[in-house]
Amino acid sequence: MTDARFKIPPQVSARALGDEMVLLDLAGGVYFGLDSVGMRIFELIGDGRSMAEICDRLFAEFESDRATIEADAAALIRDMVAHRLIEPCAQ
Amino acid sequence: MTGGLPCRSNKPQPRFEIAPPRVQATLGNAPFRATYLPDGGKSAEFYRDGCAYVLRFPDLADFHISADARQMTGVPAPGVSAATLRHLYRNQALPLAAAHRGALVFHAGAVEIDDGAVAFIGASGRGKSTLVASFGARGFRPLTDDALTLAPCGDDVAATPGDAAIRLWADSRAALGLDNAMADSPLPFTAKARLSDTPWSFCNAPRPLRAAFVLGESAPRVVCGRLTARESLMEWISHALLLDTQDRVLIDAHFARVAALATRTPCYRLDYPRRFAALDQVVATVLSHARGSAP
Repeated sequence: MTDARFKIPPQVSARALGDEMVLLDLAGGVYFGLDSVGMRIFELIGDGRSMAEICDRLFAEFESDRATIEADAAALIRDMVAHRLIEPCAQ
Repeated sequence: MTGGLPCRSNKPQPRFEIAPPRVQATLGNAPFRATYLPDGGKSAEFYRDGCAYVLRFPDLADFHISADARQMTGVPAPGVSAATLRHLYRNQALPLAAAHRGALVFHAGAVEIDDGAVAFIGASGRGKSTLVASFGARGFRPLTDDALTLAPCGDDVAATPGDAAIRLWADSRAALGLDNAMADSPLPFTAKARLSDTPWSFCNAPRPLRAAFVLGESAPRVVCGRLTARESLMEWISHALLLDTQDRVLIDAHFARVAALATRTPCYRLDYPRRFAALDQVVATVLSHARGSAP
């Protein structure tokens, strides 16, 4: 999982509102709200960062312990994959 | 701000024609979308007809809408009254056509407060019409009770007048002193009475939208809290009306416009007891937030 990378499908549209974000899957009509941490994760996914790199950045930018960051990031990424808002890159 | 200038809708109404009654035949393709009533019954079906659309209200009427939503033909089913066709046109087909032409249209009521308007966002059954009528009875003119169209208005967006009528259940009519108001012809798909002859008038001009209130669940007391822009956008999106939910370019443009709306319009979640005795306090709460005088 730590080397895994994800990409944002072309049918997903994102709107930032201050330090939060809403995603909309234009194909399925699903919309999804992200708080500031979730928005940062989505941005880093869009930058092509791996799971490990994303957690490194979050650990540097937010005040939380590493285990919590890794668990929360993994849960959010699983949720976004399930809603087809991101998809795994081929290894 | 509008600088005192009147706001006007820049979206002219489509050309509308009424065809002779016709039995609803099976259409050549499956609907790409359907909507449902609170009781689970089918409300409407959306079909493609080449690049155009057919909006079907089962056993009531078909509306053939051109690809650019500038022309529409209503075809009533045999035995359907002119009043029913008119209601479906004004409250369903026309707002959907406006949305397809770029307007922002929502399941929401709106009333005039001072020099602006406030909106009440909510699904069917959340109490939009009762709340709108409560404001009407207190001297604040309603703009619409169910389908709100927003149009650009200088740096603002304006709430535009909808159908000058309100639909209420019998208990709401009684509680609001509208027992003696003359009800229009009954509509076959609802037990609500449609009232256009009310003791108060309807606002007939667009008004800049000052605030929006999402009508939440029934609660033991009146609670009103400001939503973040993210929460506001998700509420607006979930109550938006769109004709074609598969046109990605159109949906993305709509998403951008709703995001701009959510960013600049204060939006609150309003939970309150669904008791008529609580309406005075609900109205007072809305007024204080809309006027910026809430504690």
